[in-house]
Parts: sequence; structure tokens; C-alpha cells
Amino acid sequence: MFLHKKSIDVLISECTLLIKGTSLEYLNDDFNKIKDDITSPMKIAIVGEICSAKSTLVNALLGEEDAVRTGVKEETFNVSWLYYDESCKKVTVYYDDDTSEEISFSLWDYMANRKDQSRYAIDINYLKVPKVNEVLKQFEIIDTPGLDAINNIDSQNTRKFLDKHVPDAIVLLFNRGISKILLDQLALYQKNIFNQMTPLNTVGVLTKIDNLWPGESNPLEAGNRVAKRLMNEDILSQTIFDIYPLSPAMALGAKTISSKDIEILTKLSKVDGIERLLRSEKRFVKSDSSICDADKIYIYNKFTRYGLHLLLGLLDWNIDTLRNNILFNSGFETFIKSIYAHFGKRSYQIKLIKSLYMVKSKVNGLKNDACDSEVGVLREIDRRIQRLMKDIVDEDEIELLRVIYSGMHNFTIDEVEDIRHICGEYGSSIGTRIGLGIESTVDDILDTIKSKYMYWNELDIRIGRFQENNYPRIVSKLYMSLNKEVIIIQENMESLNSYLYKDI
Amino acid sequence: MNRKSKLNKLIDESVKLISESNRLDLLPHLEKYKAILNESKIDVMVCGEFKRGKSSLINALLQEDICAVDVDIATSLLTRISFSDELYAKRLYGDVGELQEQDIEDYSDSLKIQKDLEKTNTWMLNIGIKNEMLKTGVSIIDSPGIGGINEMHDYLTSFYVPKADIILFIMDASEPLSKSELDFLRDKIASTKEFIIVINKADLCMDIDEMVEDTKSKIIESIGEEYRDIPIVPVSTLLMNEYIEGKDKIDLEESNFSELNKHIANTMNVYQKKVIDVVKEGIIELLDSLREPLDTEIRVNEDNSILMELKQKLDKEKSNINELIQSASNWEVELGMHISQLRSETINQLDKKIIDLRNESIQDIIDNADNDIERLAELITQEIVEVSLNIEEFITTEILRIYNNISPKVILDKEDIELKGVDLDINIKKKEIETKEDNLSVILSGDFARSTLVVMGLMKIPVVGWALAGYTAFDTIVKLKERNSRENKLRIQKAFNGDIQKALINLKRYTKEVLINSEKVVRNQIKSEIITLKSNYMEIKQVYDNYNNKIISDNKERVDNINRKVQSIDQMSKYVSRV
Repeated sequence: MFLHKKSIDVLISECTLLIKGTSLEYLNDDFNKIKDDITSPMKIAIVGEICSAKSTLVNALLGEEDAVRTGVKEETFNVSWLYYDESCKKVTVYYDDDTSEEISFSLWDYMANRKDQSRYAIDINYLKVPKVNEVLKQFEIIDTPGLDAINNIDSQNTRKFLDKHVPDAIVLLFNRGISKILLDQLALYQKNIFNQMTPLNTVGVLTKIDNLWPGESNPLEAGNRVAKRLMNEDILSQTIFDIYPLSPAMALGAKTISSKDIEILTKLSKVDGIERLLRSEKRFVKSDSSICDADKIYIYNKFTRYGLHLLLGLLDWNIDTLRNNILFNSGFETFIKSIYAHFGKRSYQIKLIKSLYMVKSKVNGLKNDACDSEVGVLREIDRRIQRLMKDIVDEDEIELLRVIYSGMHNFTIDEVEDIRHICGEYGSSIGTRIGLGIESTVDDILDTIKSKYMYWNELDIRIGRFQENNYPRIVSKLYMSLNKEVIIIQENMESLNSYLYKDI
Repeated sequence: MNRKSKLNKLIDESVKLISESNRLDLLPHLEKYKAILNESKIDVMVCGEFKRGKSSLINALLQEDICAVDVDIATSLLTRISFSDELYAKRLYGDVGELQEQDIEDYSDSLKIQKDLEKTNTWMLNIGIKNEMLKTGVSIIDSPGIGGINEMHDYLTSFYVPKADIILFIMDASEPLSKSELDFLRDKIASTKEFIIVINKADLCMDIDEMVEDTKSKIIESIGEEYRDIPIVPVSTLLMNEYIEGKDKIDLEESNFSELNKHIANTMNVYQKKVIDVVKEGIIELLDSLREPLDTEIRVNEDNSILMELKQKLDKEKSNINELIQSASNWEVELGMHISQLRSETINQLDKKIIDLRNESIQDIIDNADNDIERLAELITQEIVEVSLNIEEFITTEILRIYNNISPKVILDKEDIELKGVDLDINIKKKEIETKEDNLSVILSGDFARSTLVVMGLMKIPVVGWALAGYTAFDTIVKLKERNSRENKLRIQKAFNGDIQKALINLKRYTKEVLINSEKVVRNQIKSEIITLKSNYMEIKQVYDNYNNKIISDNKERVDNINRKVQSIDQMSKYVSRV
């Protein structure tokens, strides 16, 4: 992290120098924007097929039942960008012609959703929605309309938005498995998204796993099986970090479970043959019981039939027990942990890569119309950005992470931990990467690196240098380069010390 | 008799018809239609996007665990399930065109078989089971889901769709009909197949009616208004399975599978009807192609455009001749007019010549005669003969021109008829017609030869007269010569003037006669030509009539023959279309 921050400063000052006094000086704004970008919260776009519960997932992430509107059919019509703001009480509508206007929250629903498609719908680029929600301090969330909607405008609206604003990371939702259409649709965003989709910034979600019940008695497990098989498809393993089975509805239900819910559940538990009723939503709602239809629909939609099956099967009616059980079985826990581990700890890196990529493509675009002297400068800037990007993204790290997450390995638990640490899953500081606390000295660090390197090097030799999938070799190389980094810092420190204590 | 056996009987009769017409090339087609008509097997193909529950639905429909089912994509091969007393499972593999069959010993783990065979060159599994539902000849085909990332799955399904007879298109109640599903329905299924939309997993949906409406409106909007009545049947495989297990009638009812079965049976009826229609159309088309060459033959045989043309010409000739032989017909009026015009022109010219000769030319002649009276007479005679020859030439040319203008034009001659391919026995004396102009010239010049003689004769009288008159005139001339030559000239002029005038007046009179004679000659010539024309016409007419009668009687027989065939074909088509 330290190195990256330093490198980006160096890059910016180098580039500023390169363009100083030339006709390209206006690029300074773009360079400085990199700095702004990497300090703002990470922007995560929720992208996916129609009815893949994108909006429900947004609500689940925020832990709010009605943060964004949801429904059974194609509901979301325009892109909504949720961000943290305590002071602002109005939604800003950004139109295609770059104008904007503020509207009240009550109008937001009207403008963003399918119901009452207004004349605005087509001209709107996106809606920016302020919310007071701690999650948004770390991640800004972009809710998008589904791809492959019959009404092409929905997809167009997503594309229109993505043409102008590149999210830092993408959560890709799909219903039953990945469809060719979804891949094709994503390819349409090639310029801004597909090029950007790397295992670094994209996770997949196999959504609505609650629908697998009762055909599958354990939907989460079944979902994992499908996810694992999907990740064996080349096209996916190259673009997606991992796929998580998830029931957004159950996750949201768990997060917003209330005493009112428990009341209804209690009544439900007394209904005869409830399991049989859960086989069909209609049957469930039409059944005779002391609960009114509205409550039945409410509770069914809130927890899904699989959720209700789980809840009613529990003996302990403590609200936390209920919540945790549903949350666990929704797959949300694993998912959110991964989001935080993967996106959170890496957000700086992801944002930086994205910003650099944006500047790089702009620079490359300028080359076409530039004069000879400008081309020289632009090429030099491009070269420097390229070099820095290579430093930041270590493809070996991603490969290792994927291996340990896929479970297709023979590593011991300790070895897996080593890999997680060295690949930055727990943080990117040198100490964290070798599993040491903050109190450790430089010597401790060097010793640890050395012993870990020896360990992995031995594994490497045992496997054989030229063997395919020699992961220990990758790990030992990572320790080696970490060692180099520490020595450079140490040397810098020594020169700093000698400078500080030098007699004037 | 039902439609099918009626149609079968008509096919058999059509075979006869076709054989009689020597159109054996059409027989295989007819046999193909017969085979289609009598095919009792119906392929009901279940297709749709991946993970829609197609295989589970088939299992529930047959109430048998026959298709591989899994939470992940399980079906990667086409699976055809047909009726058989003995259980069997075979795989169809190999290159297209050379497919081979191999028995599968153990079909108990269908999922494993699908997975194992996916990576081989297997196209299809053929399964035989003893299931009452399939006893009527229905086969159910399970297909790999479309729209996934495995292109082979799409390929296999798209490959079989055209071979299937009825399609059950499976969609999912938890997702509205998507664009890709609609595209598949529209492009691959709707226009060519009978199909039913099955909304599976209806248990996941509270308001399934709304879902059905939504699906219907999407289909109407995207594929067409004519698909408004396409059956859209929501079912719950889950509840059907519950029924199979627990035999609770409520499960069966709510699963809506009975409704699905009803729709499948209906659609099969519609399909059978459609098959009969297709066969009907096919046979009618075959009969049409049997009929087509006959129609052409009739058309050719009835084609009398050549005769029509000849007839037209003959008619024209006839009216032409009629007009020519009328009294005071155009040509005669014209001839008279031209001749009188020629006469006045000729007389005019002669008058001019007379004046000229008497006043001017004579002076030169006298000078040239050099007092030789014999020579003088000769020169004057020469001058007059020259005038007469000029006039003669002028008249001859003009008369020929007039003749050419008014002589009747032949509209139809033998050559014409021969060119049209009409066989003629009669020769027309063409030569006569060709040389008539020369004849006329001979006749005319004969006249004029006489005219010169006439002129010469006239002239001779004065010369002889002069000679006989003796020397007085002669002497006078000689004497005078020596005195005033001008005075002499006038005297000589005076001496000859009377004779010259006489000669020219004679010539004038004669010219008039010649013209009258010429007119007669031309008139007679034309009249004789008209007679020739008329006889030619009569001859050609006779030829035409004979020929015409022959063709008409020949054709009638042939056309009647063909018409009889055409009628029986038409009758057959009518019978077929009435089935």
C-alpha cells in the first residue's frame, strides 16, 4: 500500500513534468482526478439478468427493507446510484444532455421503476440517491436494470450509464447458471466493462437459491456445487473471482426480521401441514388459518418458502438465532465476507487500477489525432502507466487465490492461511502479508519472510520446477519479492536515519 | 370413411393417373406423402432454456424416472423416449450421415450416462419403455437447454427442432419470458411447428394468471397477433411429483398436469389435421405438376396465330380485289387523272417546241444547211424527230410511273404461305408478275416507233413536194442567198414554216392518240393483273381452307384427348381438396 501510494505520486509528478509547457497540459486534470478517485468510496455496480433480485440484493447489502424498490417482474427501469450523505435530502436526476435536477424522494420511485413509465424514463441517464447508511461510507452501490429485458430500453439505460461512469467493481447476478445472452450483453459493454472485468474486481452471484428448495434439500450446498462447476468454465474463471450461491430475499429477510415477523411465524407454526402448504405460494396464501392473506403474502415474500421452512423447523425462537440461521443459509455471510475481503481490502488497488485504466485509454485515444511531438509524450505517459499497472496487479496472486477458493488443492490449513496472507486477503501491509502483528521489527519481518520462503521453496523443489500448476513456486516467488521490498525500505530508512542524525 | 382412409384411397387412384401419364418421376413424391400420411409416430419435443425443469417435467408427465435431473445442468444429449414392450437404451453416435447405434447395458444412473457421453460423439439416446402414454406412437424428446454457454447444447436442440412434430416450450414461472426465449420461439418454432407454452414451477408464483397474460402479450407483440390462441399452460412439476408420491388428488389438481395432457392431446389433433392438410396440398401440387405439361400441349395445339395471320391477309386481299374490280374504282379514276395531266403536260411541251422551232431554232438550222436545200430539209426533219423522241421518252417514263403508282399490290403470295410453313401443292407463276413492267414498256415503245414513222412520213411529203415543186423555190433560195442573207432566211423560213407546223400538229395529234392508247394499254394491263391476282387469291384461299380444315380436325382430336386427361386430374384434385 505504501509503495502504491508512493508510486502513484511519482507517476503523477512525472507525467505532470512530461506535459508541462506542451499543448497537453490540460491532461493535468485527469492525473489529479486519479488522486480524487482513489480516496472516494468504492463504486460497486450490481449487474445481472432480469429478475435476478438485484434490487433485493442492494436492500440486503444496506440492511433496509425498502432502500430500493423490488418486485416479481422487471421492475428497475433506471440506474440508481446510492451514496452516503447526511445533509442532502433530495435525489438528483442526471439527464442525457448533462443537465440535472433535484427531486424529492417520493418521485424517485416513480422515475426509477417500471410502474408508470414516465416520459422521463428515456432521457434519464441515472439517479443519484443520498442515503444515511454506514455501508455506503465504504461502498457506493449502483443498482441497474436487468439485461435481456424485452423492453430494450432497460438494457440501454444500463449501457448509457456505463458508457459514462465506470464502476470500480461489479457484482454479476445470474439466475440458473450463466447464459450466453448475459455474456453477450456484457460483451456489448466491452469498452468500459468487459475490459475491466477481471477476477480482481468481479464476483458472480448464483441468485435466488431459495427456489431450489424443496427439489434440493440444501440449496446452499447445491448452489455451491453449481458454482464450482461454473468456475471450471474458462470464460468465467478468467473474468470472475468466484461465484457465490445466494438468496438475496432470505438475506434481506434475516437482516430486517422483526417482532411482527415472529408473531406471524408463531401463528404459522400452529397451522397443520404447513410443509405441504409451502409447496406452492398460491396454496400457502389460500390456506385456511387465523392469519390474514396480506400477512401471509408478506411473510412468504419476505423469507421465501425455503426460509419459512427453515424458520419453522427451528426450536429456539430467539430473534438472533432465527436471523443467523436464515442469514447463513441464504449464503449471504460467505458472500459479504468475500466482498469485504476481496473488494474492501483491495479497494485502493481496484480503484487505482481503474483510474489508471481510464487515463490510459484516454491517452491512447488522443494518440490518433496528436502531432508528432505530442505522440512522443503520450507514448511515454502510456508506457509509465502500463508499468505501474503491472506492478499493482499480480496475476499470480489472483491465480493462487482462485485455487484456494475453489478448493482444488492439497494445501494444509496453515498453508492456505499463508497464501491468503501473502496475497493480501487480510490487508496489504507487509506485516499483514506475512501474518505478523504491528509490533514486529524489521528483523522479525525479514526472519519470517526467510523461513516462509525456505518452506515454500522446499515444496517447490519437491513438486518439480517445470511441473504445471506448481503453486508453491508462485508462493516462494512472492516471498522473494517481498524480501526485496523490505530491504529497499530498510536501506531507505538507514539513509534517512543517517540523514537525521548527521551533524550539520 | 375417415379423412385419412379417404385420402389414402385417392392417393392410390392418383398413382394410376400418374402411371397412365407416364410421369413415373412423380411417383416417389406421392409415396412420400403416403408415408407421411400413414406415419403414426408423433415426436413431442420438450425444449427451452437451460435449467427450466424440462427433464423433471418429462419424468412427471410419464410418471417415471427416466431423464437425468440435477440442480446443475444435467441434460447434454437429446433423449428420445418411445414405447417398447422391452426396456432398452441405445446411443446414437458417429458422424452425421453415418450414425451408428450401440446398446447401453446399464441405464440405471441416467445422470452419469449423460455426463459420460457428453464428451463423446453421441447425439442422442434412444430409450424404450413400457409406458401407456406412449402406446399410441408418441415419442417424447428431451433436449439440452438452450442459451447456456455450451454451444453444443444449443446446436443439438436447434438440430432436432425441425424434426419434431409438436414442441412443448418450457419457461419458468419465477422469471418473465425473456427476449432470448422470445427470439427462439419466433425464429425457430412459431412459424413451422405446433407448440404449447408450458410455464413450469407455477408453485413459485402467486399470481400465475398475470404471468400467463404477460407471456401472451409478449408473444402477440413480438411474434404476431395470430398467436393469440397459442395454449399457455402453467404447471407445477413439484406438485405433480408430490402427487405421484402421495397420491393426493389436490396435488394433481394444483399441478395442472391434467390440463397439460389435455392440451397435448388437442395439439396432436391439430397436428394430425395439419398433416392431412399438408398431404392434401402436396398431392394437389403433384397433380398440378402432372397437369402442367398437358396444359402447355393444349395451348400449343390451340395456337392458330399463323392461320389467323394468313386469314387476315387473305381477307385483306379479298377486299382489295373487290375494290379493284369495281367500276370507277380508285385506280381507274387515278389513271384517267394522271393520263390527262400527262397529256396537258406533253401538249404544253410540244407547243413550246413548235414556237421555239419556228422562231429561233430554224435560223440556226438555215445557217447550218449552208444553202443546201436537201440538207436543210434533213436537218429540220432531224430536229422534229428529236422532239418526237424526247416526247416519247418523257411519255414512256411517265406512263410507267403512273402504272407503278396504281398497279395493284400483292398482299399475299405463295412465298408468304410457304414461309409460314404451310404446305402448298400449287405453284404460282411468279415470273409473269415480275416481268409485267417490261412488257408494258415494249408495248409502249412499239407505239412510239410508229409515231416516228408518222412524223417522218409527214415530213417527207413537203420535201418531196419541194423537190417536185421544182427549181423555182430552189432557185429563189439560191438567188436570194447572194443578196440580203437576212431576207433570204426569212423567205426560207416562210417556205418551211407551214410544213413544220403541219408536222408538229400531226405529232401533237398523234401524241394524243398515243396517250389514249397508253391509257388503254395500262388499263388493260392492270385489269389482267387483277384477274391474275384474283385467281391467285382463289388458289391460296383454297390452300388455306384445306390446310385450316386439316389442322382443326387434327387438333381437335388431340386436344380432346388431352382435355380428357386434364379433366380427370382436375376431378382428382377436387376430390383431394374436399377431403
